[in-house]
Amino acid sequence: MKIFKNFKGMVIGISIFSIAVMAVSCDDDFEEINTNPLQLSTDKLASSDVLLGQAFAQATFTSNMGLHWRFQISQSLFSDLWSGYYATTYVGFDSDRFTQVGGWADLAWGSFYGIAAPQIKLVEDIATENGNSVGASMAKIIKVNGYSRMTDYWGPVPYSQFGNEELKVDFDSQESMYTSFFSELDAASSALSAGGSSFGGSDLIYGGDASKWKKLAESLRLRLAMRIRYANPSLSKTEAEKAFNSGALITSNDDNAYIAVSDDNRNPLETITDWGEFRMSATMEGILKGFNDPRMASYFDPAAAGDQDGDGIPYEGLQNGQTKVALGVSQNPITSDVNIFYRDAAAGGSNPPIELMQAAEVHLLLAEAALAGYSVGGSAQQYYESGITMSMQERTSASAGDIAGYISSNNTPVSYDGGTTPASTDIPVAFESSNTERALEQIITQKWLALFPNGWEAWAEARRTGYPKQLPRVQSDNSDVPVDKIPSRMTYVNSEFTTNSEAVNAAVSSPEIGGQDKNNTKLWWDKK
Amino acid sequence: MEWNNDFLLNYDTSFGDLDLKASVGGNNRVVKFESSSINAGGLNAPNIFSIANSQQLSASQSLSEKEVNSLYAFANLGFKNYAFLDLTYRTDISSTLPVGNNQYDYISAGLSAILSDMIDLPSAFDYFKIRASYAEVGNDTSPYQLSRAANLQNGGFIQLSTSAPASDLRPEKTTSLEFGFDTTLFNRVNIDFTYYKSNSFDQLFRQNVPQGSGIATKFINGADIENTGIEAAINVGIFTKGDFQWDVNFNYAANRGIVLELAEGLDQLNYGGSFMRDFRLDVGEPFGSMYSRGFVRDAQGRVIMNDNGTPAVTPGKTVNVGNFNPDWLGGLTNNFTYKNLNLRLQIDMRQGGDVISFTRSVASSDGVLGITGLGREGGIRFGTDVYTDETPATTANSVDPETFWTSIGGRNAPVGEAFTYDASNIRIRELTLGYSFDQNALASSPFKTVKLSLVGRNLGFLVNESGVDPEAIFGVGAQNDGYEAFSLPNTRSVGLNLKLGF
Repeated sequence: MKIFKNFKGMVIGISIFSIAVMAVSCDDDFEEINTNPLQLSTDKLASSDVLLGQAFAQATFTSNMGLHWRFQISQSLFSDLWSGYYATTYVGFDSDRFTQVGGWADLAWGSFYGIAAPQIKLVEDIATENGNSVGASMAKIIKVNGYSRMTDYWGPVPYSQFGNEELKVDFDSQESMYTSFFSELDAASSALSAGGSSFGGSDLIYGGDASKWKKLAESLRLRLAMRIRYANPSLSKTEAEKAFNSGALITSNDDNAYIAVSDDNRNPLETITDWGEFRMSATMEGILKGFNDPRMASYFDPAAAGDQDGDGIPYEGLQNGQTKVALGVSQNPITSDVNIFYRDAAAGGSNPPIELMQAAEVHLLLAEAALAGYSVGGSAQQYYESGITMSMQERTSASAGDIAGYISSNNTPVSYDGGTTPASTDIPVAFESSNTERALEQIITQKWLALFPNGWEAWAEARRTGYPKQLPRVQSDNSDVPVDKIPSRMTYVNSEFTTNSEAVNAAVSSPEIGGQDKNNTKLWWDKK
Repeated sequence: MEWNNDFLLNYDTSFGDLDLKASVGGNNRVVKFESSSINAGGLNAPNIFSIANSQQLSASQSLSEKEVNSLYAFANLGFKNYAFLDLTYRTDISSTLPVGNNQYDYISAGLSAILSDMIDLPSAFDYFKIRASYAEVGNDTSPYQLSRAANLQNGGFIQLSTSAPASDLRPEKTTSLEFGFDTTLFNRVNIDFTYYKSNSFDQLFRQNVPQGSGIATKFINGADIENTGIEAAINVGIFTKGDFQWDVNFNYAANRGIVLELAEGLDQLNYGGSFMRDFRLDVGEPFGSMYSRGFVRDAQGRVIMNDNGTPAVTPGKTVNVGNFNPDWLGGLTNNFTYKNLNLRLQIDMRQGGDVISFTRSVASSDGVLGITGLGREGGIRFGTDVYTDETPATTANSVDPETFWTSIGGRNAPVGEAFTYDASNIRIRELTLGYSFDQNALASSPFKTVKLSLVGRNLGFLVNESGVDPEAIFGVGAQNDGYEAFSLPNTRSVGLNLKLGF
């Protein structure tokens, strides 16, 4: 052809050849170009305990909904309200009238399954592979804590199949999950008995101390054992007594499990208080005021506008379930915000660590165990009183005399609005050992006070026991949950129906849900 | 930063009636973005904008780099200046794709002929050209998609990325086929007509997978999405008499998109959305379906009612409430000229397609829409007072409007079906009245032409069912189509325009 007979054609031919060579040889750098030098890849984590520790720190933080907005859409807008700690004051939020806002619930689900759960699995898998049994046990405990929170919200959830990287992930029944939790805690607790440490300063709870982690494992066992008291009494008794007999419970405030926070990873409650969207509930006001409880001033601040109901005490709660019309006028000035201790640092708050489990809760769990006839080395009354003492010592500066006076007081909850409406209940602080049901109400009401601000756990216990008795909502927008009840569970989230429909539909029709994917369907352990 | 190394060689020759232009080129392209930012959160001493003066420093850094090597060739063959053939070929090798599967090539061919020069046509045809073309376009992806990252977070925490690596990505490919003609008839009618069909294959999707699988999203290659459509423009000189001239221009476009195939084993795919609605691709269905919460219906399509008078609604966004694509778009422009005066009226039409209004959902639950005033004394009934085109399955009890509108509207769990509207509309896009000054009068001025116009744009709707401006969507991109959320409507503007020519 003519084209190759002239000089230009030669140049074309040579150029094509040289460029082609260049293109092929460049392939080698392409892999390097396509690797981001600013990013870690997972294979680097396995070779460094420090890096794995920082991944574990993230697992701990996120599995307890550590980031402000994740905390808000998962806990603050659901269980914190349904447990009766706070009432919503923001007109745009419907969950205080028992509407399970789907978008929030979806994000709550994703905050655990999309963020925390892969992290937990990553750390447990790598630590196990590296023969780091302390680190693997710590990851197991965080796993049991995280998944128990999820199943206590929803019922059956993905657990044993988590991380299968398939398009279908089956749900586990709540009953089987609890059985698995106990055996995971068995494994962790026995591995931790050998002592040692892992992750050092990256462990936000105990600085890597295996002996303290064992205490958290056994205390968690006790919590979960009491949760299944009405669903499987014999397993409940076995596990609760096993926890007690381990001799390794969090019985002293020195061993309390707090998740350390920093300026970068803050206590989420501290950040969201700045948004001014919730205030002390009326139920809380009536109980704290009626008991003349020293924790009132530690948990809450006086209302900015002072005393509203004429009792001379400037702490004011708001009845839950306010209508949109009522919330159209700001209720914030006339109601109590959480104490400045929990508030935004800019407002003078102190960014406190996140409460995971405290001695007061353990004592009150033991009180209930004793009341149920379990053999836990003391009477219900002894543990009830030591539980209150633990809480007072940890949360207030009350003197030993003040605490003793509180424990023996016959004060009962009062009306929150100066007598217009009745009080939520009539139990005194002083323990009534002669009446088992009233004693249970006293134990759980005190535990509710001690757990504050852990609404996630408080809502689970409120569902299981029916305590504390809460004032009715002003209005419910949910036909399944009337004003004098609280929701029994979260309904499954939309994203599961779009991405995992076969599995979620199987969970809905499983015996535990019985085809009733509703807010008033009781969970497996909710059998009192 | 973008860095290009190019070479291009051209060859040009003729043999008799044939003209040939051919070129061969190569390109090496490096695209690199680097950013680092330091943010000073609050100043210690006022008005001194120095990093050292910051109360709370935060820093961030990002990097993205890719390199593509390409070779290409193209040729244009002309015959007697009335028939032309264009051919191109290109091959790319990209760093973003897996080594071993990172080369992709594509071709195009186009043929056009001016028939009015080639053969004798009836005298009505002053000009007639036909064209046909076939083109392929390939595409790579963004960098760093092939391995699973662990992200470093503020405070030193390390977070596993939620996207699974896509180690077997294939390049995306789009093919398109186009036919058309341009013609002039009777010296006063111009018609430009195009028919096209394009297919997009192996599109890269970020597929939402069950989060319990350990990942939230996964990149997949797949799909065959076909678009077919026509575009036409007709320009007619209606008449010219003395100083008076009237021209009409009409343009029309219609497109149909259909999802022929998704990835293997997948017949639907969610690709984003909001609290209000999701977009979903369903195999065999048109592209652009919007899913939201909707009314629960019985077998006859009647709406199931709750006892309190509100309609039962689906818990999830599972109801197909519409499609954001219009059936067709059209524009009609009339242009009148009389002596120095000129009047131009442009009317735009949109037929079909739906828009979901988040604005109306929120406004209805806040009780600030006119319709929410209905029944504040005495209540309203679904199907009778509101949503009158719906039939309740059982007697709809009377409900107070606050309960009703807050149950279906609002911000967090709105019932999109109740706030979906036909986006068809006819609007006066532009009305212009202009006056051109006589050239004679300008002789002593420095200007050659002076034209003064009164221009009104977006003067109003002649027809609009939706209650919002369907054009004022939330943003750009498929995820925002058909979604109106507190967007500012297009403003009406009236202005004076003075055009000076030197």
